[in-house]
Amino acid sequence: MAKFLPFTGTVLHNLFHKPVTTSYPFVPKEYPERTRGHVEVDMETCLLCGLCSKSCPPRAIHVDRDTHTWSIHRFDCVQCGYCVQKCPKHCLSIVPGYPEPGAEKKLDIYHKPEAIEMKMGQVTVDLSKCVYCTLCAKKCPNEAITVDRAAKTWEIDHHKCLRCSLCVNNCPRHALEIREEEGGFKHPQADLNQCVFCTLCAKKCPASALTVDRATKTWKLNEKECVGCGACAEHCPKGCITMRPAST
Amino acid sequence: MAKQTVVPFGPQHPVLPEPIHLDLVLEDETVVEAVPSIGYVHRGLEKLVEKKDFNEMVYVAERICGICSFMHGMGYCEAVEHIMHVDVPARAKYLRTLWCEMSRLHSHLLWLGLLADAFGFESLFMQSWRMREKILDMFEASTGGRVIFSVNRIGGVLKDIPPEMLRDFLKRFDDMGADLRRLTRTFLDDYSVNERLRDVGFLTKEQALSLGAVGPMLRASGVCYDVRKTGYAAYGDLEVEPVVSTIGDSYARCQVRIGELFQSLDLIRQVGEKMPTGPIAVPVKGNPEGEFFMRCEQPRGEAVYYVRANGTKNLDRMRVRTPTFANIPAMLQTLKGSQLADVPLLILTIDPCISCTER
Amino acid sequence: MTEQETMTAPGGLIEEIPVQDLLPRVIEKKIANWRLCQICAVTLQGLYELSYSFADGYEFHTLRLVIGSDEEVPSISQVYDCAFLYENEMRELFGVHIQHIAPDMQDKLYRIDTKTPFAEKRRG
Repeated sequence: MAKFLPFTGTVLHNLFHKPVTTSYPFVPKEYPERTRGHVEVDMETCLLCGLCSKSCPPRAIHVDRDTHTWSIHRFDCVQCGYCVQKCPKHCLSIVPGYPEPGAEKKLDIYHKPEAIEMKMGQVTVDLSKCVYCTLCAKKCPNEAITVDRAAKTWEIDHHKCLRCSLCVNNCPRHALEIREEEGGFKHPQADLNQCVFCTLCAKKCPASALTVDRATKTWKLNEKECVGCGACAEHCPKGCITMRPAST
Repeated sequence: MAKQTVVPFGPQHPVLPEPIHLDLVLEDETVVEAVPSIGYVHRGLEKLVEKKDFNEMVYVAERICGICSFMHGMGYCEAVEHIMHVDVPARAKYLRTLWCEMSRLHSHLLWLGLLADAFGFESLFMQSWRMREKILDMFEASTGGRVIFSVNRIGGVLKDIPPEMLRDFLKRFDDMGADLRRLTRTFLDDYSVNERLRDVGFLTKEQALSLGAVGPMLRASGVCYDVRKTGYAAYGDLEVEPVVSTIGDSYARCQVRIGELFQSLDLIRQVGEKMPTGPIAVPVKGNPEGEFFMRCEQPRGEAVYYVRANGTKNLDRMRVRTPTFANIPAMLQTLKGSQLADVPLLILTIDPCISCTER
Repeated sequence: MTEQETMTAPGGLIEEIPVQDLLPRVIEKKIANWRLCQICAVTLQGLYELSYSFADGYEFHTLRLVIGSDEEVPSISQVYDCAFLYENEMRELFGVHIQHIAPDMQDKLYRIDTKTPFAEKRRG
């Protein structure tokens, strides 16, 4: 049945009441606690393993292990929260507060506070417990572990290892652990009588902590930058570098 | 024979939510034929299966469209879960059903607002969208986003709704029932709205079936078909009766959608009563292998998700046949013989979601 | 499960048929008042797999064709009017050779720059 003016009731109600619109931005908007506004990172716990970067659908996150930075393009991020799910150390969180509008696209870079804080332990295996199920190899995001079930061998490439501890967490026999280096941090020491200043160690250093000069025959270590990975010792053709505990 | 002119309609038009182009062949003021031309929002999302693994594709699938976002994500997840034989926990199914029905509510309210705007009744448009804001606030409180929820994952859902939040939502939905009744009275009873909607754009039952119409278009022409009766998610435990009208004009379609609004409120109340406790997700290992056709009932009609996987982490094919894609031939049929002034209204009666159509 | 039961099961029944059987089977469906649900294509190592899905009530039946990239397929838009959109899309995106689509959009449905982008797979 067609009626005339059934909307009048609403009109009269609206005439005598305040409008429901708020005067944003003068009245700030209160967001509920679950709002997905932007991604925040806790750099103290971050391992720079790069899993978030590989899983970000728009590829907005970039992790640089050489410069110890974690960066995000704020305007590429779609606030989906997949990085938060994938982070093995749960150092990422998505919190309310949208990026401010601006005239340019914003890139936020976060540095790891002190490179030395990254205690580079190594993944060790207890072969008496290992059943060569190959689960650790499958979980490794950087394919650092090789397991051969038939030949019963277990190998790890320590340079590829990101210390993300995914293998340790997934081993059904708890045969893997990451042990911190005893005596704290290790630094390289070169036997200058044997050194030929070929500069290979400086080239291999991921932290660019070594300066080697062939002309003046100098070999210098920047202790602040050194992460104690041992790449220099491994690649020295003369075997003249050894890793010693850092003197404090 | 009267002279024929061709008038281009769209892609920019105040009444269209998304761009679509029609070439209308007119004789005086009557439309004789309409030739569609789409492709303004084609993003090639289906080709992204080659680059993104099947877990990331959830995020791509839910970004196909803003209005039907949750159901795209859910349809994709259910298809992959069927292929991988994953048993989703009951609480996750109920949570998905709750969010589905809330999506249906907000989508129909959006459509009602656009319809009111199409025949110039702007205050009614504002009131409809005001009511929709309350639902969007509830979405933000429970999932974190107003439009794109990112709450689906293969094996369940990511966020839980604690009991106090659920009780609060149910109370808000009860209050909304009375407001909705007042709002929809204007749509169904007002004299000028009736003049614009009644006897405009007839689609008979045979035409609807042969042209492949789906959703409210089909149900308003007298065909009793609602995919929710196949019992996906938690619909197997709930009572769903399709809302059907036999008249077949635009007024009937408006009536069917308003009927579905109240049906959604009732379904939400049922979900609230029957919600089980338990986990909200199960871990999923390995890669999918196989294929599956998943059908689900979006607000606009039946959507078909075809997923084909080959055992690697990238899928072979993900194909979404959205309801608007199926309704376009039916829309072109209703346009034949209509007046030029009714064309925007008739395009709106299929609830066009062109971003879904073109992906 | 009987054929009836598989058709109402989730996902429905998928049946592979040769190209020459396509039109006769589709006409059978039309006479039995089944509605066309969707048509889609998948590229698999130089072959195309076309799936024509029909629905009647809650039953779901898919007819599948496996064809080479140069084989020609007749259009079903003479039987089901609404098939023209699906077939135009398949021709434009995949390059499937479908004949006599009514109306034929001449590859201008989506108006994309690249020709047949879905025809081959590129691992990204």
